[in-house]
Amino acid sequence: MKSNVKRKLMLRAVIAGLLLLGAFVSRGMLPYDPFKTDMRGASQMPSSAHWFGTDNLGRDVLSRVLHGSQTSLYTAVCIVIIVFVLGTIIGIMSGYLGGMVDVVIMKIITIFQAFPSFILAVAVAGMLGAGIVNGMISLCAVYWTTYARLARSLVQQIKGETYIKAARLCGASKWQIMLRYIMPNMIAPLVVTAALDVGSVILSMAGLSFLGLGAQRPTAEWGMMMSEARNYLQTAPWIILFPGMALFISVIIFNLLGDSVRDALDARTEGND
Amino acid sequence: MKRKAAAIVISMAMMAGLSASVFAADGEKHLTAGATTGFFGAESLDPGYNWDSWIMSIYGISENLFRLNNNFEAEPWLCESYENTDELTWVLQLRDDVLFSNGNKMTAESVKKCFERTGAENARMAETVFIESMEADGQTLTIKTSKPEPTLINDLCDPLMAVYDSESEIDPELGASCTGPFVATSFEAMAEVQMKKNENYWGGEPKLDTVDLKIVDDQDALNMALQNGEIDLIAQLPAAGTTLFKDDENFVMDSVTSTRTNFLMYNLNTPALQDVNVRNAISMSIDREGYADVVFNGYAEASYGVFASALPYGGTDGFELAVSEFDPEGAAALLAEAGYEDTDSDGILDKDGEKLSLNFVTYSYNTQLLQFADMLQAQLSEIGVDLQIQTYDVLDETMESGAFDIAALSYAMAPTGNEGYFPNMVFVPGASNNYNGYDNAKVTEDVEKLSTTYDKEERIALMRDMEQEILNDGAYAFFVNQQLICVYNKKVTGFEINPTEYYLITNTIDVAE
Repeated sequence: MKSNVKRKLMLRAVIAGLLLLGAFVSRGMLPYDPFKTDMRGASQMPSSAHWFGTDNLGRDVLSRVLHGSQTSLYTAVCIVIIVFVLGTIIGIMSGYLGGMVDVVIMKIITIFQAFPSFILAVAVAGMLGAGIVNGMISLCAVYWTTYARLARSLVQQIKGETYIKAARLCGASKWQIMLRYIMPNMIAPLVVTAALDVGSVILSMAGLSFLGLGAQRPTAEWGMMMSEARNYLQTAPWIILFPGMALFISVIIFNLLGDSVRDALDARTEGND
Repeated sequence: MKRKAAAIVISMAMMAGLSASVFAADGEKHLTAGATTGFFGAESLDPGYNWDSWIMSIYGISENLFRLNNNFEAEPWLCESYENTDELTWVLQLRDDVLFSNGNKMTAESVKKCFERTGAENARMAETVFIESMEADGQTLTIKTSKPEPTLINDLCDPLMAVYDSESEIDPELGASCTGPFVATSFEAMAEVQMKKNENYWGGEPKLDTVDLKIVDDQDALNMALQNGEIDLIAQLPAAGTTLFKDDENFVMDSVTSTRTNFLMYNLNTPALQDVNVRNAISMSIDREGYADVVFNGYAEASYGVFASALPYGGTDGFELAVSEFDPEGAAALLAEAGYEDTDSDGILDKDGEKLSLNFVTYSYNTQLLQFADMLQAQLSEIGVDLQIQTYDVLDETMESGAFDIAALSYAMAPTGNEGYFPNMVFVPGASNNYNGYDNAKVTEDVEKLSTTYDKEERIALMRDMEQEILNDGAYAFFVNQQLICVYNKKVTGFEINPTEYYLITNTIDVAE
């Protein structure tokens, strides 16, 4: 691996790690109660007392943004982990077992992919009813297909390799082959996809909340906060600005990290070849 | 080179075409107005359906026999004169020059038929007017009521009593033919109505040729649409927008005290809410002054009574109040008195193993009530009451099914000038909007008596008696009386704001060139 690429990866991983850590620990040290309303102190400009100002109900925006970071970031990471695991398992089964299993799974994937992804998420969330968990389920329903499809094609590619045939001749079972010989050899492209997905999942989750299908009142979630604040765009722009900035910065950090992961793992793949 | 020349010619032709259409539009006078679902949202243009006649009256499509002036007094409109010949008989002389928009003449017979149809279609009519029978002779309509109804002419101002041609087929899209200054040319439920002037209008030619009314529920989009000239008028401006237009010389902002009140309705079928202490504890947790001053920017008045203080029987003077101030500690004490404590230390109070968690419903488009919901939720969580907020575009079904614990509602409480309007609709058991199962024999008796009482003083005494009962029972918390605010581009002339919320588009509205 080129040292430059490695350095970049390390730096970005540290920043993303700090962001996640910050989101985790900040809940214990919020300047104000993020839910406490104060009508007399509503819509105050950013000041030394309230660094990000107060919102239309007098709640401290900084506290809400910090409190919301946990909801926004960790739900996204959770979703990516879930779809990564689920999608990969389904993809490996489909690719390795073949036959009817493969046909059925591929048809299901095709059906899921026939819809524009965010519209499908909105529809699923709409059917399940609003709420963070339902929002997560609906995004999982959208994102797993990418992993399943990718895993399947990688398995099909690896399945023909001679070392798999050798393992089979040595008497390894189907599951042993799938887990011990196929999985380790296909993990890199999947990790790259997952790293690149975190940013877009954060945005999708915020999007669902913005539409009122994700987090519910009074949860401090960035998309939800922006949705509530948009009525004050002209009179109190800081209410929407800060959650928007938080979202923007987080997505950029995770996208850059995803890029670095891709560069690093691609380089390794090349080196291995 | 040739291609370039061709491109220039084509683009010039396109520009000419574009400007031609602008000029054509310029020749006609057009007004576009916007409002949220609450003010413009009709499901159909059938005056018999649900609340749609109210919206049709706002649109300037339908009219009534009587019209309310700014003092809530009924004045003849499609009717020329009337006489109350005995306690049960009213003889109305209808105007002879009124045509429905389809060209048919409005006669006493057509009005009779139309009231009969509305009565058959809409349950609210039975509690609005007590018509026993009607007799039509030319332009003379004789109404016999089933009991003395001193407020009949006020009651006939309710848009539900709109006059339309019920004998002609009602168009599924464009609705009934009415007598107003405008007729719909296209209608999209809960979204937009386009209208042109009614060529047959009896009250003088409408000054506008076409009117387009749009529903925009995003408050900021609505404000910006007015700022950038996309619309000319916002009806019922949400109060948060007032700061934008108050000092801007390009816009005119009118406000008037209406009878619209924001209130909580406690579902008395919910076990926890059957305890008056729990209800009062919640009512005490409402920061009414904060809500009126901040969320409404002062365009509202905090309320501890039932009716607005502007009404002779409203306000709080002379009433005994169980809740008279914002008192979180008092609320906590009341809940303790009711036997609630946090036995499992999860922050939510409980009693007999049941958590004090309540389902709170309100309108999704009412930005003020949404903020109120957040406010109350935060306030109640501090004393250990969990509030689950659910919002709906159309609340009626949820209310009718009873699937709520607390509802935050916004009603015009005396829009017809008839004191009995709201009590008849909400407080009486079995009434169309008695969603919470409220039943107090004394209140029902007062409402009953009120409907047949002629004497003004006596009516006020009955109202006050009833209000005291309502306050004692605490089944509702009336927390703010709001003003009606309209803002428009200064090129709009002839617009008059009316506190009843029944009228908006009229034949006198004009736009300057």
